[in-house]
Parts: sequence; structure tokens; C-alpha cells
Amino acid sequence: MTLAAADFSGRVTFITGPEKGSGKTTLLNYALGLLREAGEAPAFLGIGLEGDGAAAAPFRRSAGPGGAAPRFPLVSCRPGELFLSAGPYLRDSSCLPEVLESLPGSTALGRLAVVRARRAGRAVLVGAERNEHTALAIAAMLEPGRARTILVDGAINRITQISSLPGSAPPRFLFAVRASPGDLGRNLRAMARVYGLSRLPLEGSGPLPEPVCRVEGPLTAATLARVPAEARSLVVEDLTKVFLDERELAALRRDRVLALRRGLEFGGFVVSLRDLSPSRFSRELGDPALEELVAYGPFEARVA
Amino acid sequence: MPELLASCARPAWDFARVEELWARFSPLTPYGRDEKERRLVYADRSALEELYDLAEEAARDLAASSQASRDRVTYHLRRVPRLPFPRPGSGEADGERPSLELIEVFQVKKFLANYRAVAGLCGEAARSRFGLGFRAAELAALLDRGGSDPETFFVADSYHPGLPALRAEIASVDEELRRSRAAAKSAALAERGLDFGFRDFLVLPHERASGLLDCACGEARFSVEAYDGSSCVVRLQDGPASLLLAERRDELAARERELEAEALAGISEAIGAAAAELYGYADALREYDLARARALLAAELGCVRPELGSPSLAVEGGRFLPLEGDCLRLSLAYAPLTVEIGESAAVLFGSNMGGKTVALQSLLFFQLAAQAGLFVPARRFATAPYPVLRYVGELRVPAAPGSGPAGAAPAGEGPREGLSGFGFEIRAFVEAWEAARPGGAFLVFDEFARTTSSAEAEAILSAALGGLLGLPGARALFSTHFRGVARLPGVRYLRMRGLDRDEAARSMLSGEPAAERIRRINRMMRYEILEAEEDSGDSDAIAIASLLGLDEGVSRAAAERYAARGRLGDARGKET
Repeated sequence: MTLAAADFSGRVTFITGPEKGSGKTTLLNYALGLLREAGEAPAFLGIGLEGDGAAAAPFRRSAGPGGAAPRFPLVSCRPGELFLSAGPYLRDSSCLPEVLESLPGSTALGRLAVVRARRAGRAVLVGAERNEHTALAIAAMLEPGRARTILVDGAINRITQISSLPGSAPPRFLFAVRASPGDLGRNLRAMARVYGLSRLPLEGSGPLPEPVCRVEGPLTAATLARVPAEARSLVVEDLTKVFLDERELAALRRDRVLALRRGLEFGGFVVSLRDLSPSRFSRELGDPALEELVAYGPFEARVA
Repeated sequence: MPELLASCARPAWDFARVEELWARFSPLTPYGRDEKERRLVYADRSALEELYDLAEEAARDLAASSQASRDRVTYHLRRVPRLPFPRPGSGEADGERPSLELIEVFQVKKFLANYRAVAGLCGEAARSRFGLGFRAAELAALLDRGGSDPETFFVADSYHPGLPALRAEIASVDEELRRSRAAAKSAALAERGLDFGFRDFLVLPHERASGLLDCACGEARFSVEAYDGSSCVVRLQDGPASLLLAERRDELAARERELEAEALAGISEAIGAAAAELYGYADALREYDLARARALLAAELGCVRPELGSPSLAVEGGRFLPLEGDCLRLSLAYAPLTVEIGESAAVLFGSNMGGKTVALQSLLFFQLAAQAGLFVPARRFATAPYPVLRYVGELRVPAAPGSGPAGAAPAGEGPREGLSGFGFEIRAFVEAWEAARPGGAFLVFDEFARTTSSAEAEAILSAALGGLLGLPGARALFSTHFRGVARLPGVRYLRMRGLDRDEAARSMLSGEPAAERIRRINRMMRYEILEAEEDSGDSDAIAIASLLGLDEGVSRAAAERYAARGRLGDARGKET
């Protein structure tokens, strides 16, 4: 799989990953580069407090509540691009920010605002703590005349409320993985799990075996234990609500059909390898269908 | 003085399902929404008349404006943000006010832009009535200098005499840096075959990367660091001239931050000077927003302005909207309520399923809606405002979506732990009595004393009625199926019409299957209020039991025994 500007253009893309340091912010920067080359002025934002520590993404440290020092991605921006930040960090953004919209309330990090860079500089990305505020920020960015392409750097479990945003192509997500021999097995399992979840059937796309049990909220081992034994199908809101590990998922799917009320489009895996060759990784992956969805280290631009 | 509902009238509010109406009351500004959340119930007639007058003024303004204009007002009201500083004199603003941040200045500008738009779209009469004037033109002009549209904001060059030259120099340095870095990338491609493109780094095999150590690329140099066992990360680092430029850029940026801070301080000062004026606008917007929301709700639901100061409680064609909605969903006919009660106390008799609880809910619903400042869904509603509104009875809270099953609990306040059902009822009555004594109250008792024997219940009910009659300014409404309640002068005795016996008889004679009869019982009920003296003397409960499949012989025997007990005041037992 090869990533191109068209993969991101005109839609909201969530860049997620299995853990910190999986290359989400590096991928964000790469996607921004692709879009800029294509002449677009995208919008971008983070979710939550911490990005990952990729070499290409410097971070701004700030004393947080209780003396903690949350890190915020510091991303280069161009004139006309939109991003989300907090009041105290706008002073340091160096891009002559113009405030387009403020989010309700105030966080420990100050008021959050959607801003437009009026000149090139660096943007300190501060994410909203609440999912609905992220949704508001994205809606504000998508207002006519602002941005048509949005990149979101954040954890997969923060996607839910934004998956039904109107006015753009359906949002989708990419899954960034940074693998080395020591964590290869863990990353392969995470990829297989995401791949499996992304292919779950949608309710309404075909008949489900009766009786059907609709699970409100997260599907965990504990909630699964409360599902009536006679239920042959389980329906959850979307894939971000499934909190079962691969073993539990496999056991569930042996006896029952797991379906989703709402689908999230999956864009594929972006894999960055250390001390691993793509051929070995592919061999270990062992699934040609999954392999077709893998882009190997595009932002690293290896030169042979 | 308004009564804060949460502390006193909450059980009444819940029993009457007023929240379902309140949810449709939709002020749009944060100030209007704050007021809505307070759920104020007013007892002062002049305050209520003022709210009604304002709603009528807003309705006139809406009627005189085009749909496009109404849509624009809605749009602007929704966009009004909160002012980002405390209200002057609120105590929060004591001491020196710090300079506002960029986002806060934006909020003030956005507030003003939307306030001016709303005021401009209103008719002259509404503008004058709600005080939607505008006297902050100077501040608005100041804020309009920064932003590419009427709502957005940035620190424009014109806010500080030092900014234009400084920013011009920043632009010049930026351009030099951009050229220098682009040249370095071009040289890397031309001289080393390394295409950085838009990337900040490349990953190269060790052997190739090590050959770049200490190498120049135009003015830039390569930096090399390990990536993994076989590869390195290679970056282009600024050369000496670019480093000097970057250093200069940092100095200029620091100076720019200082000048921007000075500009924001000046703007903050101008905003601070207009703070009281701005909060005056917020107050005017809140009143307009609330009145407009009341007017829109009244138009949407076909509501009428309550007539306050009436000695009677009168409703014509009153629609208890929550039940009307339930009926619609169940394809059942809904009968609006018409009744006039001049007496200070009324007793409503009726069988189970006859609708007497719904009649009480309806009257309390209209009363609370009126005292919350809303118009009432009826052709006419006349009443007086009461300082206390109380409900005594079992509280069945309808299940909100996703909230689980409906709960049932005795309503009222005060310590009730360890009390039996009867204890609860009596405590609730005592509290209502005490609350009503000082200045009157609107009291609703649903199936009061239902937890004791019929003889005791009738005695207690009769005595309570007599006692309440002596409380000045109190209006008490009772529902009961105990027919032996004493007939007292000054008390109105009413009954629900109940089962349509002709239709029930036809159903029984037609041999209709029991399941179908059961399904149709609700449709055979007539939810009208009649004088109790018009009672036929037949028992609805026994007739309903027949419809539900009670053995014919048992039903007949029950009817005979009931008839033998006499009619109306002679009856001494539970009807059902």
C-alpha cells in the first residue's frame, strides 16, 4: 500500500496506534507534507495530552496539574492551515494565529481554540480532554471556507463521537505501528485484532442470527458475561467499544456473530520497522489480505 | 420571589411530568440556557405578567419578521459566547483585572458581533422593550481591526506602532531561511542523490550514512544518528548563516510577543472600561432569548397566556402534553381537559384506570407551566400563582431513554427513614400543611390515605379536607376512590366519567375474544370530569373486572353486593 495526498484529501482521518511511541505524530507530519505538496491547507489537531516521541516531532513540555509535565506535539504549519491549541500556547506558536472559534468552558491548560496560521511557524497542538469538544473543534474546522481535510493525532478510543460528522466524506482511521524484534509478536497481534474488528459486519447489512443482543457501551469480558446465554448475535456501537483481547474475541466469534451498529472506514497500517526487514515482517504477518493494507515506513524514505 | 424548584417543588414537577415540556423550551444563548437550568417557579403575579408580556412582545416581533430573518436571529443567538471576564461588582472581579488572552478578546469580539446582529434584526419595538441598544461602537471598531471576518480575531499590525516593521522583518528572515533550506535540499539531491522532498529526515544504510559525516551540502551540513542496527537517520542541519538567521528570528519573535502583549493589554483596558455595558447586553440578550423561546414554544404547541388572579381554577381544552404524546404513540384518542373549580378544595372520585390521577397531573402541569413563565397548552387557563406547590402521593417517574425502569417512591421532603407507607403519607401531608399555612399553597393529593383501611382513610380524608378549608389561600385537589368521604360545604365533589358502559356492554355481548377486550379497555374509558352527583351508581371496577375475564357469576354477585351498599354517600367500601 502506498500513501498519497488523495488518501487524506477532503475527509477526516484519525491517526491511531497501539501505544505511545508508535509513530502517530510522525505520520501526521508526513501526511501534512503530502497534502501541502498537493496544494492543500489542511487542519490538524491532537486528542488528549500526549503525542509520541518521534524524532521528527519536537515536543513542548509544560507543567500540568500536580506538577506533571504533559507533552504537546510541536508541528510546523503554513499560512492558512488550521489547528487546535490552548490560550497559553498560542503566544508561543510563532505563526500569527487568528482565532476562529473557542471551545466551551476552560481546561486545566486554558481555553481551547481553533486557530488559523497567518504565516509559517510552529503550532503547539493541545487536544481537548472531552470527546464532544474534539467533535466541536472538527465541526468548526469544517465550516465553509475553512478546511476540507482534517488530520487527527490520537488514540483510537477517542474516535467514537466524531465518526458521524456531517459535511465530509466518511471519516477513516490509519493504524501506526513501530515494530522491532522485541515487540514484534505484540504488534502483530494488535494489527490482527484491528484488522478483525475493521471487518466486522454492520447491523442491517445482512440477517443476524437470532436472538440478537445489543450491548450499550463498552463490550468487556465483564459485560460479555452478562449477555444472555441464548444470544446468537451481539451488536455494539462501533469497533472502538470492543475491549476484548484477541483470545476473548476469537472465543466469542466461535459461537456468535459480533456486529457493529456503525462502521468506521479503515485506511490501513503504517508500519515503521527497526532491525526488521519488510520481508521478515511480512512473513511473520502471514496474511496476504492484511499485507495488502500495510504501508512500510513511508515517512522514513529509506534510500538504498 | 421565585422558588427554586429543586428544593421545594421537585416532586410536583416530576409527578406532573413538566420536565417533558421544559425540555422543549429552548433558549439558545449560554445566558438563556443558564436561566433555563435554574427551573425557577415564580409566585409573584407581577413577575409572571412581565414574563408573559415579554413573550408576547417576542411573538409580535417574530410574526412581523420574515422566515429568513428569524433563521438569522436563531443563527446569531446560537453563536453568542459567554463573556470571558466576571460581571463587574460580582466580587470575582475585585482587584486589578489581568490582561485578556487572545482567545478571550476573540470571545468579546464574537459576543459583540452576534449581539449587534441580533439587535439589528429585531424590530424597533422589541429592541426598545428588551433594551437591545448598542453604545459600544468604539470598542467594536477597535476589535474589528483584528480579524479577517466579523467574528475572528488576531493581533493585527495596527494594534501597536512597532508591529508592522517588526513583522516585515520576520517575513524577510523567514523568506531567507526558506530559500536557504530549499537550497540545501536541492544541493543534497544534486550532489548526493538524496531527495528529502518535504521530509525532515531520511533513513539510510550505515555505510552510506557514515559517508555523509562531516560533509557539507551547500551551506548546510548533514547530521547522522543511529536508527537501528543497520540504518541511520540523516537530517540537513542549518549552516552558520542560517543559524544566525534562525537566532535572529527567535529574537524577533520574542520582541513580537512583547508588543502583542502590550497590544492585548490596551485592548483589555478598553474592554474593561466597557465591562458593565457588555454585561448589560448579556442581560438584554438573555431576556430576549428567553422570551423568544417562550413565544416559539407557545406557537409550536398552541399555548395560551394564563389568566392570573382568577378566584377559580379553570381550564378549557387543556392538553397534558406528555400524555397526549403517549396516546399518539399508542394510537389512542386523547381527551383534552375542561373543568372549572371555584371552590378552594375539590375531591375527584373515580375507579382505577379511570383517569383521576391523570386529571390531577394535568392540572398541576398547567399550574407549574404557568408559574414557570410558560404559556399553557389549552384554549383557556385561569388560576392564581401560589407560593408553594406540593404533591403528596406515590411518585412514578417515567423512565427516561436509557435510564432503566421507572421508579416508584412516595413524594415529599423531610426525614422518612424507617417509616411505613402510611407513615410516609402522613409525614408528607404534615409537611404540605406546614408549608401551606403561612401564605397559601397549591396542594395535590393523589390517593391520599390509600395505605390504611377504607373507614380510617375516609375519616382522615374528611378531616384533612375540613382542615385545609380553613387555610387561607390554599387550593387542594384530592383524588380518591373512597366514596365515603364527608360532603363538606365549600368542597367540590367531582368524578371521572370512566368506563363507557354502552360500549363495554356491546363488547361483552359481541363475544369479542378476551384478549381483544383487554386491549380495548383504554379506548372504552371516557376521561371527562363530571359532577359526582351525576354518578350512575354502577361500579366501573366490577365492569372492568368483567372485561378482564372475571367469571360472569362472580361479576354479577359483586355488582349486586355493591348496589346493596347504596349509592354515593352511603357507600363505605373500596370501590375496587
